[in-house]
Amino acid sequence: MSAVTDRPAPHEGVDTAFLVNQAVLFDDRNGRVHELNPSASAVWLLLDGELSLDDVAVELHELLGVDRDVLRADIDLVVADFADRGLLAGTEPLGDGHDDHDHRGHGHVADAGRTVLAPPPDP
Amino acid sequence: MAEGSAQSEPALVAVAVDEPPVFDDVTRVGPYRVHGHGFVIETNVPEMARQLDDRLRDLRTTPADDVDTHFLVARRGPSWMTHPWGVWRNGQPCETTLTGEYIQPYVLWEVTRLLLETCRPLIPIHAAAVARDGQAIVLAGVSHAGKSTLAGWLTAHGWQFLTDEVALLERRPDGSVWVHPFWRPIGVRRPGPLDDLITPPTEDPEVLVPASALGALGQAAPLRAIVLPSRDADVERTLQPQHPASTARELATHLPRLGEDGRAGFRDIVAVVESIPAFALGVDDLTAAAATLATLVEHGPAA
Repeated sequence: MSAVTDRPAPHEGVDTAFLVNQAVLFDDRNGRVHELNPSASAVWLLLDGELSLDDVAVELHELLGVDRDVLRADIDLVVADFADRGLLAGTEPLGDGHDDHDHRGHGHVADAGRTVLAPPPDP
Repeated sequence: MAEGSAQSEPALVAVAVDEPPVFDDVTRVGPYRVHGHGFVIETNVPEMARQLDDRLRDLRTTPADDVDTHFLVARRGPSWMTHPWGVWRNGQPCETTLTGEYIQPYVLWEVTRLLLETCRPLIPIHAAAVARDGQAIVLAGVSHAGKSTLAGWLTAHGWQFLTDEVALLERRPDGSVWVHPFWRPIGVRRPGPLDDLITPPTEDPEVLVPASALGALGQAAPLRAIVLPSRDADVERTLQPQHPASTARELATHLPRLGEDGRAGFRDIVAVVESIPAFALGVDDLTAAAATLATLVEHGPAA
């Protein structure tokens, strides 16, 4: 797992589109597309390299009214997941052998770069 | 095989696999056209020329059209070779060790690649598409979801065929999205619901069927909806609205050039899903699916 700083920011190779209440991310280093669920999307949008994870918890507490400690624990998990996916500054993008299954429920990843149209399999 | 063998054909054949072979006699078919680019196919096997010309007949164009691409489809070596076929494009090798079963799907792939290389600024997505009453529906999703089968079924039942593999999307200044056709033959897996529509009947597990053999070919049309078909019986047979984020991921997963087009390609897809509604639809009952889609085109998603 890649190291996570206390004030994480998106990697510059990651483009973010926000659709209704969910973020969709495109990593132009490997062509992968990540669909974040609404909660992970809210965290993602607050990661600007200036706010600490405590600050993010405060922001979300004011927005959602959820207990700050509970939020902070969830934020740690989500940010760790972002780091695993290589989405944060200072982290490496997902490699070829990555298991695309979403184990933590924060969203889905699509391997757009390599699922190009290809010749059909030779029987 | 040792020298002096009773084998009537040479055992060792010097084959320079990358060099296009030269034949005294070749059969040329075409020209065909994909998104403004003309191509012809030459082969040293007349029956292969006949079959390819039949499969690609919906892409035929007039002989006067410019031709900038020449495919050579060659069979080489003795009859016992398991991979005797090769394909060259403008003298450059594409694939030089192909089986007899694989050669036609491979040629079709090369035609598709030609389209993908030349279709910008249109946005190519891996999807089928059909039109009705001047409006198009894109059928997107994973392989084996039933896209081609549904497109073929709809074509045989009054819809117009646009494509079964690559839908070419155009974002227009007025905000609309149009779908342009790519009339390559439909890849039909058998056995399946299209069996009765295939003439002559065949036992082949997968056949390439020109869409015009099933119904009408359609011209470019504005996109009404994106439908993600599924043969899974658990998926509702009524239209289930899809979140645009999920649709963006789904389309991006099957965006043939996303790796090359980078953020611009990603932004194209995002713009499309922001303006076009998307639905999941169970299609294990093709008649019911056709009726649902006809209603969608006629009355919109709320009907």
